Amino acid sequence: MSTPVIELSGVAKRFGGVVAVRHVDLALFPGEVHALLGENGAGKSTLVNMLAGIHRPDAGAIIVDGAEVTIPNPRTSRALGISVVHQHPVTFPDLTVTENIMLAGPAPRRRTRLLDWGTARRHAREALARLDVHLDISAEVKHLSAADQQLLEIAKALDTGTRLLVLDEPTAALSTREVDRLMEIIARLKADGVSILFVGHRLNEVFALADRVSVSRDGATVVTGPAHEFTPESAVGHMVGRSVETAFPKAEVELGPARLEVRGLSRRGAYTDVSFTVRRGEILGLAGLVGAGRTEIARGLFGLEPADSGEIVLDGAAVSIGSPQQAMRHGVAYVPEDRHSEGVVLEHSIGFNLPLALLERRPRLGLLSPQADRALAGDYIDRLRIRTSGPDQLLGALSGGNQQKVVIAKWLATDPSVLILDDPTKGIDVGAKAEVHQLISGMAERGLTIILISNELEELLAVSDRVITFYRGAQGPEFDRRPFDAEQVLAAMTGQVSDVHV
Amino acid sequence: MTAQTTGRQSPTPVPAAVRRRLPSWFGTWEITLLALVVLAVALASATSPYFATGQNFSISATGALGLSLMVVPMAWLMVAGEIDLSVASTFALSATVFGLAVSGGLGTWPAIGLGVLTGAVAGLVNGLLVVDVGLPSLIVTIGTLGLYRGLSYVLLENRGISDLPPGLTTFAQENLPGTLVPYGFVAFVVVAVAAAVLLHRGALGRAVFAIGSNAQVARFSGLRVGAIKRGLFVFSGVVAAIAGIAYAGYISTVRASNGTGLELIVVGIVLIGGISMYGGKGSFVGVLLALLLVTVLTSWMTLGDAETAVQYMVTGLLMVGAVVVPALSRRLHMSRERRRSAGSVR
Repeated sequence: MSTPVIELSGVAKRFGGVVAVRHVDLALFPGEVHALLGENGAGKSTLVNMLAGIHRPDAGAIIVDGAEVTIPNPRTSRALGISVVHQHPVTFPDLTVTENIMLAGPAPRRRTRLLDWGTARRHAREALARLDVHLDISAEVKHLSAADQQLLEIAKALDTGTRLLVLDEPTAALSTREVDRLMEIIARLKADGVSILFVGHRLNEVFALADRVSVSRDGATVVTGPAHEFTPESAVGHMVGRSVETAFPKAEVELGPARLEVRGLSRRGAYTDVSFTVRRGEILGLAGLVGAGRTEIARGLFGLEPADSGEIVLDGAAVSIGSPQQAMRHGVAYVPEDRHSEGVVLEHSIGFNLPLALLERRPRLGLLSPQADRALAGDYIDRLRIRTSGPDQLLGALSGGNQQKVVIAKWLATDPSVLILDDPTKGIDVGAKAEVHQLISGMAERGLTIILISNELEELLAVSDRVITFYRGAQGPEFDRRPFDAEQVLAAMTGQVSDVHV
Repeated sequence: MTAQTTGRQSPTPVPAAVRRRLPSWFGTWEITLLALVVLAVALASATSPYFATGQNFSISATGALGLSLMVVPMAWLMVAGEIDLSVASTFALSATVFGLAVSGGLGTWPAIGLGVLTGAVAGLVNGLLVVDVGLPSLIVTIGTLGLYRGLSYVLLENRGISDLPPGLTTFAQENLPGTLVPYGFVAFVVVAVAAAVLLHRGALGRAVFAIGSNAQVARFSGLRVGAIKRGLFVFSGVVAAIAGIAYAGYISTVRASNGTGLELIVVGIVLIGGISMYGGKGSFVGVLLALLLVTVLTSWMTLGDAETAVQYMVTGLLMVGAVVVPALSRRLHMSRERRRSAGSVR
């Protein structure tokens, strides 16, 4: 290949005492798709921010066309031909598509210094035409779908001078069809000689697309090579630093009697006529797309947003669950979807967080024992192998996986008999995921009834004993024999099959 | 990044070992306040021969009773991330109802009961508007600040009720027989110690910290967030009522203007005490030290014949300092960190 468009040589960056990037070498050639893989915390986003001119490296060099450059701000980055699409869309939701595209660069002006709206609209149309996407340029961005917003981000980032396009986990919010469309766009840009840095951790996409692959771990690039020299397994091995044998250990558990039964549960605008039974020791998976009503069902069972009608039966007796307190009294626990805003108090310690769900049981004016709290925390730190310096460590200083273990421990401490897990491995890295799966399996072995919701179908199918699908609030086919056929489940989740009981 | 690496590598100004030895309710802020109190006491004793006397302690403690009592529920509310600016108005309204009941011929205890009930209802109204209607407490209680004060004026106009039961005036003005310790001070110490222990060691206190840090997490942990907040507003109203009635006994008069503007000093003391405006952080010990600091300064200024305006200014300055100093020190700390880390990588 020719000379690289951009080369990173030994760049490093630290924040306070935390080393985000230790030593990264990366060369990006014209017309290649380069995939950068790594777990959360491997330093990928910091690297992207250095290219975007948001952070400046503490050491090492950024070389463009053979000359070392500094990128002090995003404007310089753009002038060098670098276009960055960040992981989270940075659009102005109340402005139109035209205005958002206009604000990405210097706005066109008339001689009077007033804005030239005609040119702005023309630019917007051109930017969208370059990607062959069709959006209403006068629509407010908040009315666009997540996928269209992502495309708008790319349209904003690209201009005629783009030589390197950086996509930071661009497919996180996209459906399969939308990902295909993104792939087409990437292929077109590649043919035009644009270099593309694709940052992510969803492996399937990466291998369909990339010419070369780099894996970063603990802030350093550990391996770089042509994509065909990697397999998904070997890439994961490089990401975690060891080979993962079985990502999903599932123990065979003798199922007990029915523990939870739901009959005709409905909540207006969320789900209708949901019925299922879960036994002791069983893991029931709820499959569905985002918005299919799974989280709402979980919250209904936990009393946060009680169902309008229908029956909840626990151990054969109908119960009413109108509040979390009632749910907890019946032994129902809920590990919520959003760890940071619903699961743990980040600015307090493990010792503070762990007994939170127990507080409601204590006498209102009773006293707590700090020794007992610390002992409880210490016990769960050992049992769930939470990696921390001790019970006094603040939650905010833990990694995502260890924070999630604290949330699970908080509920295990209440000694529940039904545990609802809502996307328990969201945003945690590969190694911690395997540990959480092991934990779930172990809880089922001890006779806990588990309802699992996950946005990763692979995980759901690997961990569950039985899977029920949901599509737009309606219960779909049920799959009750492992191994599950992923394609059939996916078809049911997307509403393409509707006959109940396959 | 795992927890261990951050713990090992981050250079902090306070060594980890020292930090661990300081309990959560007595940290650097509390030490600073304690030093300020000692300094103020030393300066006051050096400049005024009357300051360090039992007599002065007795007078200051008696005078500060109303204010001190209201600080207790305000500290709890602010830890929960809420605020009650209507306390001084509730203070006047409850005293007004009490005074009218007494002059209408009701016995002392029933009249006190009626006054306290007024405070409870006033607090409940705040609680319902904040929790059940979902309005911000700052706005709700600015509204009821005007409402309750106005109501007192409607009931009393510019009259004063001075014919109060002797039992009340004795409690609010006198010392325990044979000592220089006021009755009111004993009552306050009991309330304050109970509130401090419950906030830092009690189940309810833990729940309040959780609610102030992240109400959503608290709700998802099965805590009755709404009920607890409503309860705190009622607690605030009840204590304001007791404080108002005690204060009426102290000045021997019920007027609609009793305690005007006191809410700002109460909030100021809680802020100086190191409780975060955003909830979830702070210590009751800090609040008590702040209360002590303000009382000492007030007494010192009174002995030095300083004007009330000056006294307001000093409290105001302390309040601004309480917000500015920690913010500045955090910023300084961060920029020092940045420079140090940049240097060490190169």
